[in-house]
Amino acid sequence: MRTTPWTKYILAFLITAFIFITAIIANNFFNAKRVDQIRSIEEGISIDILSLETQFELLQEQSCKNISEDSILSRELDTLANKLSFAEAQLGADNEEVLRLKRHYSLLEIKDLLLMQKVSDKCNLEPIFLLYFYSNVKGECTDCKRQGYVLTELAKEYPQLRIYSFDYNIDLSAVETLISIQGIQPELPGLVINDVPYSGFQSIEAIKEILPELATLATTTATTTEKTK
Amino acid sequence: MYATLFVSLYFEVFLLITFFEKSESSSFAALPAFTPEELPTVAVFIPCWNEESTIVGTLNSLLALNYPKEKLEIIAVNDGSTDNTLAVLKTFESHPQVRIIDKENGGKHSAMNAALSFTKAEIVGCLDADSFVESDALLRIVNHFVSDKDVAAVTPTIKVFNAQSAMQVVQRAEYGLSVFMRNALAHMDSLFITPGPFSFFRRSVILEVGPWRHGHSTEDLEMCLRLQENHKKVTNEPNAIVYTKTPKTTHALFRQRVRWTYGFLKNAIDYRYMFFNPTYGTLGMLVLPMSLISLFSAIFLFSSLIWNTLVFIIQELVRFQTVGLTAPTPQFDIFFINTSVILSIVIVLIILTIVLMGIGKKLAKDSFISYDVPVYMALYGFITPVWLITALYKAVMNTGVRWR
Repeated sequence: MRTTPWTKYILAFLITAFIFITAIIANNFFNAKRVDQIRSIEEGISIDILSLETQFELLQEQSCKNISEDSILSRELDTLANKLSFAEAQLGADNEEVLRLKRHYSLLEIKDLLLMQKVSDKCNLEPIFLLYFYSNVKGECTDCKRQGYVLTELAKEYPQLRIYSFDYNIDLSAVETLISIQGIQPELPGLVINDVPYSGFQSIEAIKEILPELATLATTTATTTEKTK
Repeated sequence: MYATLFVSLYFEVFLLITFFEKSESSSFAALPAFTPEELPTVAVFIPCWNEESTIVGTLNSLLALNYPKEKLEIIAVNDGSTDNTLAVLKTFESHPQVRIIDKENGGKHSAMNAALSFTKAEIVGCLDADSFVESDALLRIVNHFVSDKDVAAVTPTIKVFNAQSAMQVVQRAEYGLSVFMRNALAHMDSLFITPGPFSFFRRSVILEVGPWRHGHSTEDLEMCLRLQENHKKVTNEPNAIVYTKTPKTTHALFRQRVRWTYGFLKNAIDYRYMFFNPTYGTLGMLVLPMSLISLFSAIFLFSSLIWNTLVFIIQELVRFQTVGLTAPTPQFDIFFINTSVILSIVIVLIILTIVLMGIGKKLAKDSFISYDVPVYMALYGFITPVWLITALYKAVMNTGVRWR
């Protein structure tokens, strides 16, 4: 009966461990790249918001002709949200870097919201704001998944609808203040539609009923129909 | 999950190192040049149970063997066939090399033992009645017995005969992997199956360790384990090629594999003292434990896949219930490429498996460039765990398995 020398067991172990460690290092490298990219997008958005605020303050009323409802950074914020959500899945929701990026993202959302409200007041624009509060804590929000599907569909149908989503449990005083100002109850999902808070799941139909003005917004479906005519 | 992947990868790496080491080759590439006097007497047993459609081809391939006729006898055992097998066998009755035994059905092991008691040949072996051999296969196998007096058994390279159905094509790739495995395990003195098609044994060794047993319908596995238990040398000759007819349908393949896996599990229980026992060398310390762990790993990985698929389906149903049918938004960004450790290791495992399969195909002198490898990779991971789970259930419930 042949016995394999113990050196071969160790060699096989070392090679296997090397492959594993390489995979771990490669994964960490790509995750670091992702974090860098998210950070860079956040910095870009931050600069853009600051620039827009400054431009707005400099030009005051005259600036209105240059500002439309969809000129601010909602699309970039959407891209950022998708990437952040992927990074959260890869690195884990408890990852310190992910939490930091998420806090920054929430701050950018609030800044965008405030700036847009200011622009709307001065330029007589009537954008529709929708604030969404969710929770990732297991068992705390059983309907958040469904609410997410509803809002994704609404965003696809009405690109001008301004949806801002916030983690209810995020450790950020600005979000805590927003929750308190808007009167969000702990029963999640929580929505604020044009400054009115709603608790619990809201279907597409229910939101359309609350927001009859949605019908006046251009829809992606309508655009497609126009083109095919 | 990480532990399962680590163990699977470790075993593949270990096999590859062993194969490439090849400090001591167990294969004879050139045909041996023996005088007829130097060659031992050989008896080939053909257990037959309802084999009327294939037995003629099997017998003819044996009669065409490049081996001195006076030293080769073929013993066909009709094991209580209910079809025309006996009548077909009797057409060979007048052939001087062919002996025919007719007995009541008692299973393959009983047919082998009936043939064993009928011969005094030095080397005995078996050829399933659905298999055919290349003319030099026996000479190449006998070479091991002549060259090394310690060799107790020699296994061949088994190839799929005339793959037609999708299932047979998949098995062609799988048999390529088996060729590598058998060769690598032989290098480690750790073979634990002497497969039915054309494995040969020194008769004196069989008499020493005892005749074939039922072995939970896997007498080839039980016999090899018994040889290893008795520290007998079992080796492999990759250049001795035998072709076998493989199950054509998924159902037939499923039944065959449930029997094989059931036999492995039950024999593993019978020979449990060999596991992690240094007395049995690499076989006891690595190969047998890894074979058992691989079985449970495959079930675990499959269960994870099924669970994740179910979660996805439920999510999509909830989405449909909530917002109706929606078109996905296609987007490509390298940012979203999954680089997780688990996925990377799974890819490495798949690549290594393809490499092992390629080496096996090279050993069997088959072309590696074939569509059977991608078909195997796409299908086998999903169907294998089904028969593993079925066999595990049957083994736990002790239901037994049938041949056909």
